[in-house]
Amino acid sequence: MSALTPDPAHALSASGNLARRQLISRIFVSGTVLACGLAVVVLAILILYCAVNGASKLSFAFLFGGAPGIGPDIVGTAELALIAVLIALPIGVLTALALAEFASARLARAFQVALELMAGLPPVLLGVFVVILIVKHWHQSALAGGVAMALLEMPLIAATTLQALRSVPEPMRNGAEALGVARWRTIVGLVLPAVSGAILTATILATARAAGDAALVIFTAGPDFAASSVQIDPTQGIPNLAQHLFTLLDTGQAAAAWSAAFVLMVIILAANIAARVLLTRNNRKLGL
Amino acid sequence: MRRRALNRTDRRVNIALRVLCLGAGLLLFVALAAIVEQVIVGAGPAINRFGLGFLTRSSDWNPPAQGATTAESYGAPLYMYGTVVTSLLSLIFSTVLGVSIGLFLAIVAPRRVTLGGRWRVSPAGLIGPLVELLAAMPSVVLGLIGVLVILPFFHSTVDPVIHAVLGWIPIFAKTYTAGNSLFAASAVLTIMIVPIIAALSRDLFSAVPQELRDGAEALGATRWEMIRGVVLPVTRSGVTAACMLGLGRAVGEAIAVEQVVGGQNQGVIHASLFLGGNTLASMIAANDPATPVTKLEGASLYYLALILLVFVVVTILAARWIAGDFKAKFR
Amino acid sequence: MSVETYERFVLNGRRPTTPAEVERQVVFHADRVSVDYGANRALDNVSFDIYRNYATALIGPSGCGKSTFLRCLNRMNDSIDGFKLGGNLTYHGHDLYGAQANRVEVRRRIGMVFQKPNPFPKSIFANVAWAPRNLGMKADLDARVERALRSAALWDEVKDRLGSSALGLSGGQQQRLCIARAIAIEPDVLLLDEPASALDPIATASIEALIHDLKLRYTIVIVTHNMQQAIRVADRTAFFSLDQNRAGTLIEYDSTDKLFSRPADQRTHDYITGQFG
Repeated sequence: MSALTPDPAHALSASGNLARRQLISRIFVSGTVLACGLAVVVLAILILYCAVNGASKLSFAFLFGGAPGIGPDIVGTAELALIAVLIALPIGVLTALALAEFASARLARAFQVALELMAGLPPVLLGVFVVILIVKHWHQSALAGGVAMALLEMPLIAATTLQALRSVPEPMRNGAEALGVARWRTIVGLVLPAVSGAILTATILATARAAGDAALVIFTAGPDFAASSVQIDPTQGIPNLAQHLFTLLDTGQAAAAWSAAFVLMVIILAANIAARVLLTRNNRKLGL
Repeated sequence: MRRRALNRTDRRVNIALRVLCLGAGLLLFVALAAIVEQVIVGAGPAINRFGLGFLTRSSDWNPPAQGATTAESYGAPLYMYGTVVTSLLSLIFSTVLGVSIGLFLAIVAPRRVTLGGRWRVSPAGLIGPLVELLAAMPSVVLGLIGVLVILPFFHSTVDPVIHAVLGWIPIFAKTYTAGNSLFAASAVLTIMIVPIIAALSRDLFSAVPQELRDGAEALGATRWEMIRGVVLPVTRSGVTAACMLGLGRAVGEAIAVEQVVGGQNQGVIHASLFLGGNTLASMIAANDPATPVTKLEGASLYYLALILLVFVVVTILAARWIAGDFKAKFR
Repeated sequence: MSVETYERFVLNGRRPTTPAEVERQVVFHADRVSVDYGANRALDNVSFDIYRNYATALIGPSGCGKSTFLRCLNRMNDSIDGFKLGGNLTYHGHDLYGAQANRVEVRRRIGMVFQKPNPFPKSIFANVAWAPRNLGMKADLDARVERALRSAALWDEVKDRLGSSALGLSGGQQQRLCIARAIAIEPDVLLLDEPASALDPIATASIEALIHDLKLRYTIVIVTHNMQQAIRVADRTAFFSLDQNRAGTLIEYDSTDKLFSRPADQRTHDYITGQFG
């Protein structure tokens, strides 16, 4: 054998080029640790800055009162989220069902491409679209803002629901159909309940994302960002948190925005954490 | 398998459900087609006026001043340049960072670490959800942090260092006074898309079969050789697709970018990354298309949106094509 | 090493069973080796020696710890959560788990082939050339790859398509490719973890024939659940089973002939006659 065959008598310490190779390996591995540390530090900075600068100015009047408080904005954001969910949830779930249960393979592929395109469209484009479609012909309103948010949420809900539908065990479905149970009864009675947890999670996550995206609402939901009182008429412009923040930033009053940013961040992070906890519990229940 | 015949009601409900679902699916196509159509229609006056020349003509944005008589003039190159530069720059940063984080979470991190002799924690289980939280951060909050934290930091620390060391290279030349710049926008975009790439690539790396990793290590490979020789090649197209998705987000982000990009409309493309600029998306966000100065300005903003739409669709289709290649390889 | 020293230190005073064994160097020396995964004891009190240029088979019922023991020999268990090795395990007198031992170096000298063929999704050539390249064996790489593939009895089947993907090979070819990959870096020992269990009888026969050739140059340790296979390929056989605490342990270790014809332990007898396991 060649001289490179290791001599068994040699101790098991690094031989040949191994010391150099392990040094290289350690450098790169440390790089991944460093990158991860950087991400954690950035997240900590984001949260800490908002918490330190924002929490100190929180008060009952700020949270629930009109301008300069954000009471109307919170109510407005909730209303926008509700409108958006009412539109996006049924369409999203039905689309996923169409893809998983009814569409031919070719149609399903087309659906899939359309879903991915839709999911990838930037919020600002969705906002522009709603401006052309609704606002130009009518006026800025909670309904228009809700439609823009729904356009963002729909593909997200559909994609997650679809994934969940595909993980429903085939035997469960076939079993029911072999017994002669009607398709719709299988879907409504077996399949949808099995994926309801996933749908709920997806809805929360999608709503959290849409509610935090100012690009959806700045052109559509109304000019009225600093409202003195709660407004709920869906046909009129509506104050909301994301837009409130954006306007403060855009008009150079950034320092005043910390508290509102803190509230928005807390709501969205809490929704995210809740959704993830829900998902974990749901997966455990399904034995995934 | 012969099924029992269904009664009439069941058959009718079956058909109704089918129609309902396919109808909802159809709505998806209608919505997509409507978006494309409406943006083209909205851009119509600008397309008629400038044609494809809009993509190349002098890069100014001159809505008429009140009562002025000078001809209005609009063009896209400055914003296309801003979009390309900021998204590519952030793509480079976030690919390196995101893939590194994905590698750490999926492969490098020890399964369990004992802290203080009592608490057994899994680093990946702890940091993974944090990365996902970072992905959920609203862009308007990122914009705020960008304006109040990142810009001052860049202005006082990062920019001077880069100018001092690399200032002789044109792209690193002379700073804009407040720190707003294409470079700052790239940094904010990086924060946005790193968690996307990190989470997606972590899932890809975790799915690399343990047998392959064992196979590499049993051949006397170091950790890094195993990663470079097996994990990265196996997941290459998936990771590329993840990066393209991140790129799509970077191309389209309006709010956070608008806050830090500087927005100087001098109609000139500057070589330096440290001068202000604008991107397609930030330009639209900064000039509300719902209330344009003139009809032509509004149409020109829709024209920008149309260009942005093309950029984004190309990125998504590319991501899909690459990911399809990935699936085909994995069978 | 003199015969006296060998008997005193390596065999712990135990007389070798055949005179020929006196010539054999000890490669692995296990002394009361135990393995814990967290609170579970997987392997308990295993003591025996594995000799150079022998094929040694580890047999026993499922869950008896034979694979666990095999994976301890090149430290493939290190990354498993909660893994802890007790007792003493040496390789040519060097403590495998000592502070001096470098895990990567250990694996470079002690190669391993797994139960399921695991070729890299690369070309056939790149599969074999990858590890030598890492190790800096770049001179005459083509010749080295050819030699490895010939040694694994695969060369004639793949010489015309070295550039095509290894995933296109049949299961048996893939497994021989994995063997070629392991011997391309000229290790000292080859560990085979049920290398034929996923293969059809013809592919199994070719792997077994290969083992006969390979043991002339390498020390081979093979885990198998197939007793006929152990009889066909192994010079010595170790029988593992569960002890009263349901931890795996070594029951009997002897020359293959003796273990299968005149087992000393009743449990071995029961197992090889099919009354248990």
